[in-house]
Amino acid sequence: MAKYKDVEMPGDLYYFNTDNHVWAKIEEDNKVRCGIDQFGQKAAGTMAYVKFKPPGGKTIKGRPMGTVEAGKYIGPVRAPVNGTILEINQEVRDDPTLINKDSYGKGWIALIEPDNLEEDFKDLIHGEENVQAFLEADYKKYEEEGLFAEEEDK
Amino acid sequence: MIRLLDLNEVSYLHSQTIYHAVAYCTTPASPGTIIILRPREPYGCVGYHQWLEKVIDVDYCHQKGVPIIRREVGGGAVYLDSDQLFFQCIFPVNKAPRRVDSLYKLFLKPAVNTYRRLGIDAYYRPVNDIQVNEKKICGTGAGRIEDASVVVGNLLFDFNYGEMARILRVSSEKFRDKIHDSMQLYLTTLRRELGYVPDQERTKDILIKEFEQLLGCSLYSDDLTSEEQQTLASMDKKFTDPVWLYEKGGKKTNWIKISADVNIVESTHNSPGGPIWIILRLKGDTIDDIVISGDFTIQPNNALANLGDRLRGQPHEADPLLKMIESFYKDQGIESPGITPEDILKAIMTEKY
Repeated sequence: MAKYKDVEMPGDLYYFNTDNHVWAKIEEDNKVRCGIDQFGQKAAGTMAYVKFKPPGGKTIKGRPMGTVEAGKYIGPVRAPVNGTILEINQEVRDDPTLINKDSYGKGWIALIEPDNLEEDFKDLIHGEENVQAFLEADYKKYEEEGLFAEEEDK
Repeated sequence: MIRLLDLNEVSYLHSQTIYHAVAYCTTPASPGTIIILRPREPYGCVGYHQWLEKVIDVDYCHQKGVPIIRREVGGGAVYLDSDQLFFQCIFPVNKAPRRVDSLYKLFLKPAVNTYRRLGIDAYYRPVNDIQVNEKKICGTGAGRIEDASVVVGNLLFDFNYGEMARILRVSSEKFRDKIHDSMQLYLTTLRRELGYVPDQERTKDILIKEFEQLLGCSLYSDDLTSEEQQTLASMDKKFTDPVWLYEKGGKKTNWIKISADVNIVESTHNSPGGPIWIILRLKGDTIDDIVISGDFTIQPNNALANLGDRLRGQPHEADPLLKMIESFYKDQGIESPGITPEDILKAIMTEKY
């Protein structure tokens, strides 16, 4: 488990280095489950609304597959892989704060059938050491620039 | 250099689609754009994540000829008209603050200063509000649209509280009345604060100067580019498409937001003695107002009104509230067959905010 201050990022997950910090996990039959990691939810603040492409919708790596809203600000959630959405987490739709409270468990967002898993996962960050380095570097940068949402937001 | 699109009065549709078009055409190399305008016609407007049919009384709007738009930025349902001066800030993501509250704080500053120059003691209240004496005096919304950060807001010269309450889809007329009363308490305008409506053109000039002061440069007047005009045509088409307008989804909530920390809800709890209806207004985590009623027997007759009085000003927390209700039952000798203090607590705590 990579850990820095109040953020944990499991080293066995893969991380898409994008504006929202998306995590991805390879599941049975090579399907990909994904969500926003603890770092991303800390930066965004308390989630108020979420909206995602429905099952059957195509995802393009790096392009929005949905949106989240915190503090009346809408931000994109970028797909970590090219593929087709198989399932959207309805619990998160009903209670978006699950993304804040349980980012890697109940706060998952989408299950995707990837078009080319190996190719799309090449540049995702993975492994304890790499994830730790990624977490520390981004956390320090966000702290210096004052980019984390105020704790009062939560 | 920052562009100014000073558009005076535009159609209700363009009061939303123009800034969307500019946002979609924004690239990392684009200049920032400030748009200032007023809608010619009144309309209802819902946020991107809202399910329109769940929040707006569509039948009423159709009957009255009030158009409805769904925007691509956040926030809730609002009633917009020519008594509000809109300002819309569209900047490349790499030229705007990345943190949401910093984005709002920056782009709401000209509006705050404009109000102050008109003689109102307005202030920015995090995350996204402008207030005067703890009353909201500005509507706001923001979002990321492609490569643009967008912040929108309005200066409220006057406000149609009645129509704002009327266009909302609510569970009862009693609740609508409470929403109306709550807005009267917590939403203010230039007319209310000054006793008159200041000249809109002069106010606009002050706002533009405040943007120039904030951004450290003169704004240059511009028109929409041909690419923006083309994109505008597609935005007009999209925003009037029923598929877009009536797209299902959004968080299931019965709460109505009045201002930054004031929210109101109506809920029902079915107990063995009958249904208990609650209209609850929270200010932060405190019960600001509460109306308890229901279809059940309770003695003495004025018990529920008195209980409401007792609960006003109390924290919206289960354990202390239950103790208070139990104590009230004991002190007042309350009799309510089939209704216990726990039932009343459940009704008050039914809707989590």
